[in-house]
Amino acid sequence: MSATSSFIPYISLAFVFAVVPLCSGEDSGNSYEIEEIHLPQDMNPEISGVAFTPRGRLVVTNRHGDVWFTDHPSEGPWHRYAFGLHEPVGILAVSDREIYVTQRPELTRLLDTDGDGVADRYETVNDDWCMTDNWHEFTFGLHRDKKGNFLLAVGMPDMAGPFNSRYPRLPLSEVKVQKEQKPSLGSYQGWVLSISPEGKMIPVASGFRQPAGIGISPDDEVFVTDQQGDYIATSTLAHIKPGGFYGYPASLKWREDYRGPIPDIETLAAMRIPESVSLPHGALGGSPGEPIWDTTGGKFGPFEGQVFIGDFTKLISRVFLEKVAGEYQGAAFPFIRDAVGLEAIQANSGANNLTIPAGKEGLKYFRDTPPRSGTPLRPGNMRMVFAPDGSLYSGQTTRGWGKGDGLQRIVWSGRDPVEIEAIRLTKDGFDISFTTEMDAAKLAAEETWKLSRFRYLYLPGGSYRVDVTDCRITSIHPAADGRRVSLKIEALDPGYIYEFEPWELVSSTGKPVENPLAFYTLNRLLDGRRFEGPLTRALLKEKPSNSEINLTAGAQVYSAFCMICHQADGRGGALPGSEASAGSGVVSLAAANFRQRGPDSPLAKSDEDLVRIVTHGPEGKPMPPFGGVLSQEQIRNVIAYLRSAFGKSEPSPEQKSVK
Amino acid sequence: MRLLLAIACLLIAMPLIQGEPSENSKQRAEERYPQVFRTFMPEAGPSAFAVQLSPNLGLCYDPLRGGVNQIWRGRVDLTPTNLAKINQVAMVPEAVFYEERLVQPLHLGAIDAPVERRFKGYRYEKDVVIFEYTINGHLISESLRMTSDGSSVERIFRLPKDGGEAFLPVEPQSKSKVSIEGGSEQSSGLWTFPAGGEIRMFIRPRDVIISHLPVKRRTSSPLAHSCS
Repeated sequence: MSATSSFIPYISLAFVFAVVPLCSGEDSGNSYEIEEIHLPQDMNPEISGVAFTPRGRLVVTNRHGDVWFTDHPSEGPWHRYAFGLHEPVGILAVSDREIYVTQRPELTRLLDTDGDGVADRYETVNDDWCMTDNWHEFTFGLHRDKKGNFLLAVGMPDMAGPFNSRYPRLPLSEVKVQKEQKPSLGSYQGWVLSISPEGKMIPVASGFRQPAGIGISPDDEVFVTDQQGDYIATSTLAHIKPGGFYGYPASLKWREDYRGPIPDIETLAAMRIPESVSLPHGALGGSPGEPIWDTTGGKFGPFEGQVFIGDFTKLISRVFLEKVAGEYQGAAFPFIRDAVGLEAIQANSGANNLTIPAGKEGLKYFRDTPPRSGTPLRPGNMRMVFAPDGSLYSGQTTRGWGKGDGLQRIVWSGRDPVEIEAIRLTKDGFDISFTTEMDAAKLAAEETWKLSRFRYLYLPGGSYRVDVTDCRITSIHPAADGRRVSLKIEALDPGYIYEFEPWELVSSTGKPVENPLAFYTLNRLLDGRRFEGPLTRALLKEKPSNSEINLTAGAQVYSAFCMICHQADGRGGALPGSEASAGSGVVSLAAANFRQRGPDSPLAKSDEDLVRIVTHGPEGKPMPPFGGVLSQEQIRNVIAYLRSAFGKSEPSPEQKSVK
Repeated sequence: MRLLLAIACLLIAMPLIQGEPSENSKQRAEERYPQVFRTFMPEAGPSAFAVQLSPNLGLCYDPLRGGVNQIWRGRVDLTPTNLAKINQVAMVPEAVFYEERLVQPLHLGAIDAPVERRFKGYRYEKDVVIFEYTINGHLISESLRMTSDGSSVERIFRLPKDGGEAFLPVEPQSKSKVSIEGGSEQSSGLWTFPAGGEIRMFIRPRDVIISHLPVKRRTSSPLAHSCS
């Protein structure tokens, strides 16, 4: 690189600094722009870790096991620092010559001892946890606390694929603690672990299903995200306490006080520490990644101190945390999301794209929000980091769950976003603050504030929302500056997630709220009271559905949930990422073909069997259970749609019997 | 104004003082051998190593079984494991000329002493890769390199001084000839080595005819050895 070209970014930077103040204030453009970071052709773009060295060098790792760096992210060049690592999904850059990664089998220190820009020592810092070769055993990380301890989390195997029992590291145990679908084959799968600077491992907390994101707050506290499924009704952000159990039973068997299987769900429920913040499935993605704190001092806009969480879908969420009665809880918001809107979902569905999934209640989130212009956000936002200049880098990898790998950065344009800044609990409701002055009339209007609440249950099969009710607001008090409003709520109870939907709210200049959606996880009231009702059953009876079969609704469900594997024409085939590998001719996983005919074909099964399969998942196959995601009505609709669209020449057994 | 000039000078100078490696460093790195890839290997413990000593000579190093599982001619194909969502192993060339199956063959102190083996990492030094591990807490380094004629593998274990005598059963091979130095053969295939010494093992395919091993004798550490 010539000295002249090296100078260009600095001139550009100076120009940006000069122009930004002129751009502040509301405008018609995006508050946050997404920029593509172009990667070299010979770099595998499945970015699975992203970090900056203390002096500002960008370092990334990818699923092929490389570590690359650049001093000039916008233009390169990039250099390969290390290679041959086993699917690293976490990286920490101590200096230009000392980088740590969490790869599948271990925490590794990569040293460049001769200063040539290439690591020559790959040191095992610690590998004291079990390992098979199951595809789902990722080792997530990586952050270090103020004492220098490394924090990482070990993922859970998934029996959709085999595991290798040849020379396993540590003895394996397939015994279930209860009814969990993902076994913890060995210690310490499903745990958060701490590794001391000297390399000693300390198991910290258990009960995780797939803790893909670990983060450390500015106050040196550890938080972990977990992913929705059995037992974990919705994805979570949890504050980690040593010795804590966070809900997924499989990992309990590696606790020193474990005495054998625990058949009673209530026992587990009593042990479980609730998450600080729920990330409602469907509305706030499906598989959260790394939580990171905005410590940019305002360079990233008005959210200093808040948490940003990337998601596997095209979503980055934002979380405001507050301590109530000594424990963290707070509000979660969408921050950037793309392809929202049913048409966009249908257009993008299939293997090439992932959209925000929606659940039983989630179809309502398909309504269109104001479209973003410019570069869209890709899916697979599992690793993020703030750059020294205050921009947010998102490393993206989607292998087998969609397509769209790479590296993007999100830059605050300098314009004030129109957003809910925070939601704080009060003794009788919520204080809601905004990033800008809001329209006074709208702020005070009762119809602006659609507010409801719901719970999730703690059950082996997961849970959709229960005890869903609208909330009555008894008073609305806007602040004089138009940047805050206090809502008093008739029923303010712990144990519920309160959903705010101010769709009609606009700023004082008429701009709509960019993300008019928020969820406050109310674990405790200000006086410390907690939910004392049952955690495993609903308090309200679900209204029985008398609705008739709705093929259009079934088609919508198919588009949103089924098409990605079973394809638009229903023919199924190789699942993304399991296509026949070169020369092997083997397809490891295939989705059912609904156009197949004959007695063994999928649609030859009875409706009852199909409902059971969709609800609980098919035995020995990777299709997830949808019982916690879709209502029985939705499941019936989608089965009717399958028969209507793909099974016309093969009537259901019920139809045959009628004949 | 002076401040602005100072900032401008600093900005211009920054790329020069950052010590950025040359643009060719990656290219050079990819051409260097040995190359080590940790991945899913066939008939190995989870997360074993594919080691290419040259484009045409490679081996599987298995830290869990404890040794070199296979040596082959050709290049391992990592495509399956790099692309698959669900378990796929790398593809090893068919031209395998050496195989080990014994679990934890290297013992310290006694042939029947229990073996607790802990992997410690590896490092590159010129044309050699050196794996490190402990057996019962004693550090062992094991270097792997290609012989100068490109056909064979030189494998050198550096033994701890305080670990006692070392025992290594050497499995019979039909497609390769294995030569051992540094110890003595106690019984058929079972070798012993003094504490603090070296096990020098040379593995060459039987179809390669050479009159002598193309590696010079050394008196210094194997880590400093050059066989150019």
